[in-house]
Amino acid sequence: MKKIKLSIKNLEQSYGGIPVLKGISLDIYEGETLVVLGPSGCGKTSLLKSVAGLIPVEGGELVLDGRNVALLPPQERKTAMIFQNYALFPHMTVGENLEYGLKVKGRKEGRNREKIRDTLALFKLEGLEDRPVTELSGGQQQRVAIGRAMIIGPSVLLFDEPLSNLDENLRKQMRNEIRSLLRQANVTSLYVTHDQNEALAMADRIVIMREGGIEQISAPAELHYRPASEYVARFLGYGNLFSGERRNGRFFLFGKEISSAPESGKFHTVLIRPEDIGIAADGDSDETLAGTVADIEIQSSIIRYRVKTDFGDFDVSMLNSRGGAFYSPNDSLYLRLKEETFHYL
Amino acid sequence: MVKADPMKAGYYILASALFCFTALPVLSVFLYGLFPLSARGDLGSMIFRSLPFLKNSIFIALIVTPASVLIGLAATLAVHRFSSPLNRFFKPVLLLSLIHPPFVGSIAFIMLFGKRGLITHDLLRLDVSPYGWQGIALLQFLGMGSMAYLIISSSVGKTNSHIEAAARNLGIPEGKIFRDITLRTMYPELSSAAILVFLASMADFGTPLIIGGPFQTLASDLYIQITGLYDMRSASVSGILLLIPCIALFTYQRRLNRRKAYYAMALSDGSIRYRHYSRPVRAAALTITLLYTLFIFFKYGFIFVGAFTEHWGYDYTLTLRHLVKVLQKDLSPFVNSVQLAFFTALMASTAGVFLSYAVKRKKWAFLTLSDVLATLPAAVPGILLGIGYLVTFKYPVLGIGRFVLKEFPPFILLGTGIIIYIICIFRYMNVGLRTGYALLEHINPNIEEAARNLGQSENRIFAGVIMPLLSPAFRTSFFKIFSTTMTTLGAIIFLLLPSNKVAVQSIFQIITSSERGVAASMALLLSLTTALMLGFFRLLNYLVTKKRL
Repeated sequence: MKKIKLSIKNLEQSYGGIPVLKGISLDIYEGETLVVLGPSGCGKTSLLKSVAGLIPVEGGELVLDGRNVALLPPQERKTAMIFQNYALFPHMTVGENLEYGLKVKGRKEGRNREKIRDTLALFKLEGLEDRPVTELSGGQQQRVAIGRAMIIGPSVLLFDEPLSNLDENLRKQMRNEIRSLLRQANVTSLYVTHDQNEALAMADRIVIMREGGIEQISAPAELHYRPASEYVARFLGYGNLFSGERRNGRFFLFGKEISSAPESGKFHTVLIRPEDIGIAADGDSDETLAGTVADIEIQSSIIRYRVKTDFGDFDVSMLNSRGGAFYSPNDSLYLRLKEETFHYL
Repeated sequence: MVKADPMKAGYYILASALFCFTALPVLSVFLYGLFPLSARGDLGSMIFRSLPFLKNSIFIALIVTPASVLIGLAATLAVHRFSSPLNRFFKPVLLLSLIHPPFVGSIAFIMLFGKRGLITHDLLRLDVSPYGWQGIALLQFLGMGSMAYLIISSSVGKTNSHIEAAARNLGIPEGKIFRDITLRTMYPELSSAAILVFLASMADFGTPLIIGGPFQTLASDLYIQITGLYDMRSASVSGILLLIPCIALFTYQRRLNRRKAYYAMALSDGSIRYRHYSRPVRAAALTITLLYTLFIFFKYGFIFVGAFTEHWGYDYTLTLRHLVKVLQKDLSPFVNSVQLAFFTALMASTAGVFLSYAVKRKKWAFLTLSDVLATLPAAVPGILLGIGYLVTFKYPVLGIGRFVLKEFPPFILLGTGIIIYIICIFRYMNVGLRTGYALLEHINPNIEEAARNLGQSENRIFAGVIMPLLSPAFRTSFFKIFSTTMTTLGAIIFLLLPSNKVAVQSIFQIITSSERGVAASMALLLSLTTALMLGFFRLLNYLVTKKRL
């Protein structure tokens, strides 16, 4: 069984009387990357800062390596944070930034040098040791920030939206780099972001937060296929949510009876994922829904269609393969829905 | 055909004026002191005579500078980094000195420590002379601590609280964070404050004159040489001695500012209050600030009492006699002060902000030189610039006439009312220039390019795009120059005529003639006038900008 590294128990916090964290409880296992995902103002950064000790906790426990650290000052918590704007020391060089945290740990000078050399190599910063951090590119600054946090050997690494200042390409590249570094070093980390792609790419598990509480904790695939609530589905950007109704014990959606529906509950919201819908030029009304193409968006490997039907708009995504079918706006078509892919919320 | 460019023409007129009204006067002090060479023999003795005064000036400045910077730092931390209920008291008291003539504290000093002083005479029953370096140092320190606070507190907006949090998070103890991160990132402002306090202390002639007694500084000696002995040559030589350390320090500061660039990456996220802090630092900052602000508060309190009691030290019966006397007197110095401050603020802000735009965005000739010339008066002690004007504009053709046009009927600027306006405008143009630079850093040059791209002419871009964008810099500069000019004396003291006396000068004369009750009333009235005018301009500004929105 995996060992729990950090256990957050019933954590509470408020700003000016308004609760920001409403009794958050979760465990982070050793070596795991737990990503906290949520919209602005949901409390995810407050959660991170509470763990770091940068804002006071009002209730609950933070058990790190078996010790409650909730009331300890940040210096004594063995956490290290990577800030959104990197927070590098602007008056120091790359080497000095890396060394600064080591100096107080009472290590010997020689061992520090060795550690700095290793970190420079690990983060591909060789040759930049004496460079002022202000002269580095965004990606390099980001690597120094992570290096500075990792070099002191913290129990948990805390990431506060670390990639939001980078451009799209660099963000993807850094995402991969950070993930492999974390796996390689077997570091436990709590990672906060509002970008779901980043979350899905980085996480071993994802926590979805909403208004200071937890909405769902799942592995990325589970979250992707089985969002726990309509809120989670909408937050993840899934637009195909339709209401079905039970009448006389039978469940109806789009005017048809659905046999695979759960047996209880009068109403259900049904999520149909865009990639689970088929498109055909012809069809019959029993198995398909007739519609017209309202909009089209090509995203490298997939094509997204917005299709208008009598039951509402559907998002449909198809593989963008050479020679495959292609529809233009105002084309008529038929949507083929598979009951077994419906997810009931 | 070359199209007329009024903006460019305006710039060249301004650049020429800068040469005439800043470079020439400063150069003239050198010329006047060093030439004719035939008189070199007494040059040595003049320098020798001035050296002890220079030593005194530096002695005082070396005491006042670290003390004021310490106050500035403590007050910055107390007001901006620690939450304390005392902040409501600290802030307004620290800003009080902005609307007060600098030497007015001397009145309170004499009231407390003078021959009939409340502390020395009434409480301790001592019969001591209060005059000496201690009083000068104390009073300069009381006035300049606020100035240091204003400069140092500007670092707060530039501090990134995350870098302290990052250090905390790396396990660094609070004391070390304060030393290595907090203080280190405030370094540019701390050194600016130190240099400006040093310059201001060197330039202050009023305090040593009033309470220095036998201890006089180079600046007060300059004043005595001109008003008492009318020895312009010896004054110029002392002036050169005063100018050299000031310009050297100022040049050093300019260089330092250029290196500031790296702090630009560390922008504040707004929440810079310490939550975890070094307790000893907090206690020290709050105690120092409290003591300092109490001192200032009482200083003004005593001035207030002095203004409304019969005769300080002898008779403390309440009276409006002094105030009535002030109001019955000719009030034209107050009107002159307001007029001077208003026109100086208007012209110096316009010219300064315009020049900042030209330097940053245009490729005209002599821009660097114009920038240096416009900034120069910030380094030159006011009294010295005054001497420069005196020795330059006494003669025709901007002073050059003294060498070539000996028999020519002179057009002499000196002795006209306009010279007061000119010296103030050129002395304070650097305020407009600096606020202009600060704002331009945040204005995207693409905005101008976009307007150009839409087919707008350069003049219309300036009027329709740049001017509205720069108007906040103009307003900031206007308020600052207005309050400074209301309380300025050094630069204009030698140039004023009985017909255009200003209020500060009247107060200065009354203090030196020791009618302290009247001086205290006038000082209060002047502060009140400044505060009311600033309030009025702010209201006007609010109404205008609100209408536009």
